[in-house]
Amino acid sequence: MTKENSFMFMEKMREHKGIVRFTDAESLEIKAAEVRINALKSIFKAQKGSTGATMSIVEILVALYYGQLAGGPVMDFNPLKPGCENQDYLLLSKASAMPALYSLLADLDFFDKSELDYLGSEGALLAMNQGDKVPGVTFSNFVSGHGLSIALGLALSLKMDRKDNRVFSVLDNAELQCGQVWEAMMAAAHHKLNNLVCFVDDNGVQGNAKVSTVMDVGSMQDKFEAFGWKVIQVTDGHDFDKLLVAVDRAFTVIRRPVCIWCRTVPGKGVDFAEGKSSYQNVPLSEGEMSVIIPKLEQLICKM
Amino acid sequence: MQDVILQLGKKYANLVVLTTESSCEGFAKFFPNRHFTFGRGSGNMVSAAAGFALRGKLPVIVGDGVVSECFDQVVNDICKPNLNVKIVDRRGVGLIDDLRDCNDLLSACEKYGATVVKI
Repeated sequence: MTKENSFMFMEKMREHKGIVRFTDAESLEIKAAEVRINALKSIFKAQKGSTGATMSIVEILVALYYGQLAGGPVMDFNPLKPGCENQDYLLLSKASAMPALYSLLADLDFFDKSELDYLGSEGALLAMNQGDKVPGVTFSNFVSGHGLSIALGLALSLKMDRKDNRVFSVLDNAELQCGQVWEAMMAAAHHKLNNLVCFVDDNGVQGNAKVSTVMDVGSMQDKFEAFGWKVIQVTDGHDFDKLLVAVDRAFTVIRRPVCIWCRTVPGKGVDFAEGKSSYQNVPLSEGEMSVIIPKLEQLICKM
Repeated sequence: MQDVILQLGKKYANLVVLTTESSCEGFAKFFPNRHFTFGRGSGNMVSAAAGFALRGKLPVIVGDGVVSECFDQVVNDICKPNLNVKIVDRRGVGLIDDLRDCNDLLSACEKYGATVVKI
């Protein structure tokens, strides 16, 4: 490493020493709007992707990566050393929402922001539903329903080493129909994994239809509790104050895994797509993009 | 087989054994905190092994008919991400009795990068 290079590296280190984290909802909302803009742009450029599914999860991810509690940050990570010993793990089992995670990781300087323009194209770093070898992505290449089991394996190995790192897993509500999720729920409660926190993004939509019409799973919260989990309900999964309070409560639970059940709206933030299942698995058109991007930018300026 | 796994467990500190039922008693007695049982939910066990391997552990799955029962998990969670997981499948083919079917399944695993050793 030359002298100049090492100087640059040290500068970068200094910049990253304190990753800026926020306790107030307003700053987090600005971040969420930025992530939304980047995710929408990358989906639009790729001309494929799930707008509705990606938008509903943004607040949960922003609260995890940027949130700050009284006792410390919500999630510990280091963009300069992805995969380091003392980091917490996030397993985004909801593979259709990968663009939201990518734009968040680019925002945190895990990789360059220009990579977002080539989402899903051949030979690009970022693939649409899988992120092998993407810095900051713990595991991808998900088949629906496998995410919680892999999180369980990580949490068990952390318990075995007596480490206090946490494992976060974000599930889609349609994934709860998979039998393997039930197996993982049973095993996590059996091993008393209080270092496993599972978010459920309950946007009520699956494919282009409602979950309740495709295959109704009933009151899943009761089923989590019956297996021995602690369930914390968040009535509005887009409200940062409620999300941070729920995470704070989750960290105090002992000898039980925790499920944070977040009620969300598909296509949140894109006002004409909110709550509509028709926008779930399509990118926005050029006209729609020209309407929504200035609106989101205005939102950032107002705050 | 159980003695071999016990010896390997003494040699490698990061080796963990995942079983469906308590079938590795020697290892379980010697290393109780490195032995995990998952019951009949073998799909969950194979995916959990991927989680162990992500943190640098060396999971050894011991079970009956794991490859045929959980082919999806073996291919997508272990073979494609190229994780260091060992599977000891004692019945090899589970419910499939025809030897030709067994070879087809194993050669499919080989195509995705797994190394298959038949004893």
